[in-house]
Amino acid sequence: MSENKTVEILLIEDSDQDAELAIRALEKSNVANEIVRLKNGEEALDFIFGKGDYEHRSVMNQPKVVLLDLKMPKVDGLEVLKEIRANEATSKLPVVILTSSKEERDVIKSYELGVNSYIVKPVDFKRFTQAVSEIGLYWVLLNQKP
Amino acid sequence: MQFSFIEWLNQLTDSEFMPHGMCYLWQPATLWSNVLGDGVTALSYFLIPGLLVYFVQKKENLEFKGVFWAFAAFIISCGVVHVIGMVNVWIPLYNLSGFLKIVMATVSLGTVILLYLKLPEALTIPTPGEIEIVNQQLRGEIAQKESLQKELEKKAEELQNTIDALKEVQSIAKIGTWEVDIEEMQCTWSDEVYRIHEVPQGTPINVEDGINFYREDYRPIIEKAVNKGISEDASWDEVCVLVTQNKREVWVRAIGHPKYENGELKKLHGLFMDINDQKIATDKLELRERQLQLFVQQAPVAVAMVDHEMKYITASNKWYKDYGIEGKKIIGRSHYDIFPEIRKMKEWLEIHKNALNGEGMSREKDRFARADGSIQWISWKIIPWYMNPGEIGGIIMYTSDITNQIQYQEKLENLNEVLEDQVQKRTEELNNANKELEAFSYSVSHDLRAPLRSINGFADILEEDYKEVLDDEGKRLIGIIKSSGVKMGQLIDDILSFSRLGRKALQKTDVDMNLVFNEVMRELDKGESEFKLAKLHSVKGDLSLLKQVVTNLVSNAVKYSSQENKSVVKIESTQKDNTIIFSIQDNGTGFDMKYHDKLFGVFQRLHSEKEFEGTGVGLAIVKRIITKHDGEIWAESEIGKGSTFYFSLPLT
Repeated sequence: MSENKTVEILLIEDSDQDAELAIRALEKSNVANEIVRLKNGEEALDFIFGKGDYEHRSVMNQPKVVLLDLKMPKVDGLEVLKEIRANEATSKLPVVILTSSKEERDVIKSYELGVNSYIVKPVDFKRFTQAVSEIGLYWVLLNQKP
Repeated sequence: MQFSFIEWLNQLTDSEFMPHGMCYLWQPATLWSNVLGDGVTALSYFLIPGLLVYFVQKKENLEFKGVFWAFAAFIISCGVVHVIGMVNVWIPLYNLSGFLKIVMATVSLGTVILLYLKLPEALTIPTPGEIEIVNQQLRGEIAQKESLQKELEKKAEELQNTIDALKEVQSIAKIGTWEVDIEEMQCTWSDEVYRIHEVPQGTPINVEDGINFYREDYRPIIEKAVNKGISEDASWDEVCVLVTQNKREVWVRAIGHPKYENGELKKLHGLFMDINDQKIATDKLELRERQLQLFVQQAPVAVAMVDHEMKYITASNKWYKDYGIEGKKIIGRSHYDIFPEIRKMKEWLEIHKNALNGEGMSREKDRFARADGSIQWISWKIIPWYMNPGEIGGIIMYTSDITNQIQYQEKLENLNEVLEDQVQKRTEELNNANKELEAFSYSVSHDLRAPLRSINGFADILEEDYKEVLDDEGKRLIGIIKSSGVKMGQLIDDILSFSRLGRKALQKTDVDMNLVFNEVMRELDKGESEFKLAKLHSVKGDLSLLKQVVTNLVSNAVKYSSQENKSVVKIESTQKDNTIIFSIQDNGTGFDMKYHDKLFGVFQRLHSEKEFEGTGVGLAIVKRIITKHDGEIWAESEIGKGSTFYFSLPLT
């Protein structure tokens, strides 16, 4: 993977199945050409802040939107969100939580940390596909980055 | 020869001589001068003894009466001689004359002898001068005696006055004196003793009478005292009851002493007093004192009274007990001698001083460090007491030993602390358990959902991507996989919301149930049901939870009526006492009241999945929410005729 190529959507998702379903939905709706999927929070932070395996990546080169799962091994989604918002360069990066959790405390905590949107993955695949396509459409095509 | 008096007389008068006148030659001058001289002398000599006899007779106590008689005889004999001398002038009776002269001589000589013998005695007879001196002395003595006499009389008068006064005093003081003659066993009583016995004065009384005046129970005492007085020389002082002549009972005091004369016991004497009034007054006072003492001693509080020198006057038994001074003699002793530790407690000394100056004080809880090192907790009140208005006699101290109370309190506090610790520990454990549960449900909500989505998603993809390859049976099977996945998702959601209810705190507000029902009905209305909504009461409750209740019940009503031609759902509310009862009635399939118990259990269903879809959690959630609101839920039904679900909510 070219280290400084433009990324439109960064998908951080530990479940391969969910990731596959999400990518399939995004590809199907033709909203994004460049999708990067990472498997956990640690990897995500390295990618965003140009550390570890991604040390040659520029911090200035950020995706149009980050789709972030909450429950992940090592570093979870809320921590990733916290780091993103704590750093000036990434503080305005659009982050959408895409999770199975309907827990109120997760929702509240996420908004407290400054998430742009919180989407609960629908169990029903049709609705899931629809939801992911709409997210992609909105953030990649409609939303104006700061 | 026999003596003859006549013959002797004849011889005396017989004369042969010439008359003596012859010698005078009858010369008248010589003759008459001698005769007259003799005559006058003789007359005088006869008169003198007469006067002497007269004198002697008049002077009764005259001494030397014999001498006077001798003089009288001597002078008479001289007179007789002079008379015979005159006779001899004319008649010569010289023998007689001689005889008479011898008689005269004898008498004269006798007188001389008598005089001589009496002379020394006569010399002691004072002269008038001496007598005068003696007389003067005598007069002085007499005067002195007279003044002494007067003084004596005055003294006697005074004595009489004193005796009278004494009698009066005796009468007023009702004290009398008595005496008993031991030989005669007879009593001598003073007036007052008679009066006390109510016996007429002067009535003779013997010892037995006297003793019988005492009341029967006192007689042995007095008898014994009297006997001891006689036999053992002992005095007595007894207080007894006397029964007077008028049968009146009187308290008396009898004092007696033995009385000796010349070392021999002769009498008993003493005092007798009527002490009835004093005795009754004293008895009353003593009774009052005893009552007060008893009252104080038996008081169930620790109370003590001290004088202005802090010396104990009285104290209750509890006072002794509370301060561990039982058996100690404290009355009359200083508070600070009984509790020397207080001498070092400046604050208390100050409080006592203030109380003695009229300023009472009290305290709910005070620490008393005892001399033996122990600590006593007391609550106390100190007030002054007044001898006369304005004159403080001392202070009264009330105290209550609250040591046990304080200890209990401390124990309780310790226990509370332990309990609090335990509660905290339990709460922590509970919180941990809750956290674990939350983590569990979080996992369930997240992790169970993800594979479910995969099942659904990939089944979808399979159906989509392999549409051409799959026959109808294959498509039907994929459909089963998909609907099962959806159902499982629903089940997970229901379980999660049910478990979430348990830990969610109610957020109560005023809830307009009309709005809630209207909103729910709008959401559920598919045009298949007719809703009949009456005007409903408002309640206090958690809006979102109550909405869930209404949603579940109304959707049930609609669901179980779906097989009817026209389902009618009737909603009403009534107030009963302090609760509002809501009812949701449908005309649906109903249920067997036999299974009423299972209606509100989790995963309990009365209908098959085929008949009516459902997870069996909805009514369990409803029951849980209503119970959390302190309400109740129940249902009535008849198969084929519909069901009515009721739930009640408290007004406040």
